[in-house]
Amino acid sequence: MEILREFLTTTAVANMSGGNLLMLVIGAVFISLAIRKDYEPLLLLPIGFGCIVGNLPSISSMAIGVYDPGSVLYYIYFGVSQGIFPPLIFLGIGAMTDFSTMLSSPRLVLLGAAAQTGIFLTLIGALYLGFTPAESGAIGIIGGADGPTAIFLAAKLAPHLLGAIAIAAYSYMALVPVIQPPVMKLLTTRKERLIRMKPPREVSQRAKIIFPIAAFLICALLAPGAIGLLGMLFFGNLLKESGVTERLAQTARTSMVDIVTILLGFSVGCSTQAQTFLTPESVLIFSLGALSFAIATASGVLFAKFLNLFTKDKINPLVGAAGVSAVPDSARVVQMIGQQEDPNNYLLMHAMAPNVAGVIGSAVGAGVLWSVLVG
Amino acid sequence: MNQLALDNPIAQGIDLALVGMGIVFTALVLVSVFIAVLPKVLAAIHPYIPPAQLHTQSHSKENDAPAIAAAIGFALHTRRQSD
Repeated sequence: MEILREFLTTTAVANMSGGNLLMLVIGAVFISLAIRKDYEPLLLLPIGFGCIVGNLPSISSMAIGVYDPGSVLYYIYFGVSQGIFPPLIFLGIGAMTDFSTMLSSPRLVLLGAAAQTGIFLTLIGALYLGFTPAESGAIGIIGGADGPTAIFLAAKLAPHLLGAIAIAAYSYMALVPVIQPPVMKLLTTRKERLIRMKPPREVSQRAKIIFPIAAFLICALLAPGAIGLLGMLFFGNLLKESGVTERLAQTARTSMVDIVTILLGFSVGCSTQAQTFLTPESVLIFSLGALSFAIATASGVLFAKFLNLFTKDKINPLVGAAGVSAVPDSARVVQMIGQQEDPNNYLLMHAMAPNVAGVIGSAVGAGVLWSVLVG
Repeated sequence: MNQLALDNPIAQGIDLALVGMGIVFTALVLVSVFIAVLPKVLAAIHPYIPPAQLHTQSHSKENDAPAIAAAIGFALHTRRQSD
């Protein structure tokens, strides 16, 4: 009887706190959003289930959680805490990304730069709220709308905020169809939303092969902190475009990226233990993250309108919203809003240009922040 | 950047934001310029290094392998059926 009583004190039921219960509900909400609403299911489902796994309390002498050295989850989470998984995901993204639209419309690349304003304005906001410079940099990168980049930088600059930043980044990526449309409609007139753009021109295979090498050199020479992310992104793209390594590209964009996504999503979910996750800082991070997304969207749209002051071939300003690097969700949102005004206006291909430029821009931004704020 | 934590973090945060945006813009402007001049450069080198030297044909060879195997399998199957 004594053994049974002792065993009962070790169960999750006996050790469950209100915070753990709340996180279990949040995990269930994530799973529900993934299944019912199809919001980033490949990420929200593993994260949601990870939330549930990570919030079943155990006694301290048992190494079970991601923060307990020696546990299985600790070793899986190692790929997150040491910033290993994000570059591997970038390799897969590179192997599945077609830069053709960007290569055919160089001016749209600038929209990907403008949208990174969200990162740096949020950094100032975080400093104002009392976060340290390193924490502010890690929070600001949420505005890049790029989950792997956010995890990479948070792991380097503010590991203690990693769970909250990762959850905020992926949650807002999933909520792109909810956050972006009001901002886009607010900042554009109907006439602007009806603008039709010229179809992209043909791009030679040779240009597609040269581009990843040259673009990597340009970006890495300016921001060496981005070498890990951009090196893998452009390497993956070279595997795809070279035409001689199709097997490697196929593995990078399918099996490998899927395995890493499972491990990353699940272990990030597991890291959201109520005791470390449910803090006032997390609430501030979520608030700043939403603001950051809205600023990034607005910056892209407004910069497209600014470019229209000087160009003959007008850009549909909605395309600027795709400068946030949530690929391809924000490009899809641009297509959706554009077609609400004109069902025959196809903006998706145009929006993909700033969208992939945004991935590059946010990685460069992360590289700059890492270089300046580390140590 | 430890000095950021000192005197006036907001002012230094603004400096960092301006420098950061400047570098992001510089990188993507350079990428944009490179993309704009690339077709001209390729047209200029075309007579000296024709695209045929790129080994893109192995792509199709690799992709064709399953199709060729299927065709051989089908031919063998048809042959055995007819025997």
